[in-house]
Amino acid sequence: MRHDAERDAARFLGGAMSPVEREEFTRHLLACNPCWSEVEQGRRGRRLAESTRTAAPGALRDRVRALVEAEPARTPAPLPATRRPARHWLAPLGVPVAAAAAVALILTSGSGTTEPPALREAVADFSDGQLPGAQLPALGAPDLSRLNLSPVGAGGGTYAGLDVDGYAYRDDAGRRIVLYLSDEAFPEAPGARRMAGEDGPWVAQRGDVTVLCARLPHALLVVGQDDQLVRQAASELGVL
Amino acid sequence: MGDDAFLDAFHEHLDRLHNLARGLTGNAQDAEDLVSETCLLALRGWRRQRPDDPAPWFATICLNAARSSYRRRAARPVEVWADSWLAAQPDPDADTAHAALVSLDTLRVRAAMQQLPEVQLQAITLMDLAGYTAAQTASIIGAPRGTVLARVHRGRKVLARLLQEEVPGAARR
Repeated sequence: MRHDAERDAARFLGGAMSPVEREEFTRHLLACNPCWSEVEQGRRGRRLAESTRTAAPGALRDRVRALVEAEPARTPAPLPATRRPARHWLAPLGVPVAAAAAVALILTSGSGTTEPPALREAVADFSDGQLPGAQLPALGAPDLSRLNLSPVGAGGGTYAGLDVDGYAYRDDAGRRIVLYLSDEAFPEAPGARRMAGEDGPWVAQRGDVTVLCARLPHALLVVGQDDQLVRQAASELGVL
Repeated sequence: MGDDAFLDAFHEHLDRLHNLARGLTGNAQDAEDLVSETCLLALRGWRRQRPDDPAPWFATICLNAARSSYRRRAARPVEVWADSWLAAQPDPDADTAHAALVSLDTLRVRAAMQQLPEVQLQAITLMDLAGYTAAQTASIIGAPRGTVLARVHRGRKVLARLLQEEVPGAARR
């Protein structure tokens, strides 16, 4: 029988097999040395890793409490003091988006052309599940709850010299999108397709990743694997 | 009030966050600093919008903060490595009741974990140390579940090979 012992063992130990698959694989293990060895090594490694678990020290518990008590509560103002000039992200969205708004949906196709580094980094970080950095973004995550998208992380950093804040979302089905915001315009992706007007939204594709770039007062990229969800998010934000 | 609810939630998940930070940083002091950094970032986020599911949300913040620290520290990796090996005394991050469990074997396992590629270390730390499920881990690091399982399995195999002579669990009980 042709099979991938490592992959099967990983799925077996990770509980990713159906009951039928699991029963078959358990029988198979008795007759297949490579699979048996994979499972044994995986179990040994897991026990070793688990053996290093510890309880949090009491002093850390106290330190956390002291930190929370010492952190001044902010007023409910939407824009806390930030590392950059405040950008009004949500406010302009309530207003009919002017002609200046441009949305670019970059659907990029994996071949390595002369991709602008900022876009390449944004797409790569999306694929790796990373945000641009760990700095606290200037603004709270835009509300995409009508699409059942919940914020799961946010962080600011730089892509090829561009200051960028990233906001990661996920829906109940596990679909992910990330919004990237910058004060400066994102470069246009080679092969991008304009969605409207010469200054309007454009769209391109790299592999299975869809990127939507819009210009509100700020530049916006929406990146996701689900093309429809990316467009819905852009629409929800008022830029499509 | 809001901060009390935050503190309750953070304390509830402190053990797993501490284990996560301990695994990611490789030493006790950096782990406590990372948990503290995570706490402040999470508190500010919590005040803006309370998360639906705090456990993976805290972990995501911790992971992002660790990545930033990791990049800052990448220029001096020797420090991390030496620190793991030289900590041949009872782990200062453990309470007295747990100190007896922190054996030299544990230190060797921790040192071996620091040799893993970062993606494998993340996956193992989230699942085997912090106790997140494969599905939660996939959500936290934003990778497909199959990818997470492959990473964690490969990392476990490396650990098993690096520590061939260890008898898992036996040294602690």
